[in-house]
Amino acid sequence: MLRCPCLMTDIKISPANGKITIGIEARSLILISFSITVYQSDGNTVDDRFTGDTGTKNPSLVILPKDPANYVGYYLAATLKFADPDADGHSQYTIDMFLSQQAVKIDPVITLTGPLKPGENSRQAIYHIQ
Amino acid sequence: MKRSYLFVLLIAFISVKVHAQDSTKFKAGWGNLDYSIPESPAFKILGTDPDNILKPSSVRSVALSIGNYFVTNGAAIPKSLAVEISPLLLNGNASLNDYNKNKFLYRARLSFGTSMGDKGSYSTAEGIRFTILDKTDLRANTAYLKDILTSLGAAVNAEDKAIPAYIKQNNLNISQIAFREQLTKDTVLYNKLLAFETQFIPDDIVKPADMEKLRNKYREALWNAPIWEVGLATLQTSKDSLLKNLKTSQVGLWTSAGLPVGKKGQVLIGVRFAMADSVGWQKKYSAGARYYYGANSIKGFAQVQYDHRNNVNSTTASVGCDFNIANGIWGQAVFNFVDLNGTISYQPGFNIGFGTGEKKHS
Repeated sequence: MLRCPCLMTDIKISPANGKITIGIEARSLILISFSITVYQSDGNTVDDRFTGDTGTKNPSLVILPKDPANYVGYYLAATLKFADPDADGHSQYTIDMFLSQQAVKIDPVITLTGPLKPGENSRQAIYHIQ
Repeated sequence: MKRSYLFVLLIAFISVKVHAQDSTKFKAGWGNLDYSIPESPAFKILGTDPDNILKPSSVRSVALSIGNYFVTNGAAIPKSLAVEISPLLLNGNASLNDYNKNKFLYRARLSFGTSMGDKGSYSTAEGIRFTILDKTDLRANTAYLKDILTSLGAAVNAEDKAIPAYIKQNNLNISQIAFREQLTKDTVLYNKLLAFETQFIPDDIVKPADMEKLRNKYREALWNAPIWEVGLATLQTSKDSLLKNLKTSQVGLWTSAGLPVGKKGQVLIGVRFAMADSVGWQKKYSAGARYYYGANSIKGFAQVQYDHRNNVNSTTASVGCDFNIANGIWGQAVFNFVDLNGTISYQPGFNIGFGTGEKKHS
């Protein structure tokens, strides 16, 4: 599985492989709340928006409702806000954002890491679907 | 974290290098952050403190106990040292969901201690502690986690609203996706956006800057919540520093429970059973109760403890105070009055403990 630290990431999906699922996974002792904004090819028109969190399920999954072919050229922009409830000195966070079809992850996975601030932390991550 | 390990090594180095007169003794202490001073089974069995109640405490990744200080020429050198770790919490990939699904395992802690005795004798100890119940644990507090998610969710919505608003207000000729990409590269721009987006957060939601206050609110409210732990430790002693002369000399089992008494009080009840090798294996029993009054950061206590060993009974009455010195550093001042067959002796104590610190905004 390729892991990509880059934040605007091209990803190739298979139109015939069924609906696209977006996953956000906390790999640290953190809570994540997130939104996924689906932008059309112009990068400005919002096609859809979904929200979720890792409070009860990790990874938290969002299934895109349309056929995969409709999303080719679109952007999936994630706004991520996260915090360490205990702030007990863990200094790093790791978060994965991934796409899957038929429960199989598609390369590359976006892995976000960095120093964990004691309060709220913010990151952006973007997939460009090919 | 790296600093903590260096500190442990430094203390260990000093403690075996320096020899001094043991004329003025401070009693052993124990440290960790969060909820006052926890005590590891390994440190407890080193026997540096007359108090046999194992104080329960929320799990931390790493905690250090130092105690039984030498005091010479104004410098205090610890004779005893113990480290307690939670192996699963040290796993860098552990998630909060994993923790809450396997709390019992994540809260299990291993401790290792060493002590330098009089006349060149040494002791080593190993312990394990299990938490049966811990309502003080912020990671498992549903209401607190829900409050955090509400705050984070509002911040997510605010950021998504702020992005087009920021572009418009600053007349930027850029698409939203290009702006978002810019945010991933430009920390200064992202910080401007974070300041800008607070206007989109509803007034009744905890603001990002107030997350620490929220945590402190829960911590203060939960410091005396029910908690119950069990610990087991073994002690080996050697008349000298040779490893081959180490011999198991004691096995101890503790259980302690804490219960709230009103908003500012807590009762701790503890029992210990030990088998000690002293001219044959002998049984030792202890039972005690401690009452705390105060808040998480400072609280006074009174304690009574009964001990039985070799058909000899003794009772210890103690009064003292637990207090937070700095982030990750706790102190305890205690006055012990020991009644042994009608002879009452007086033992003052001062304990210091260190633990992985709570992360705070500087």
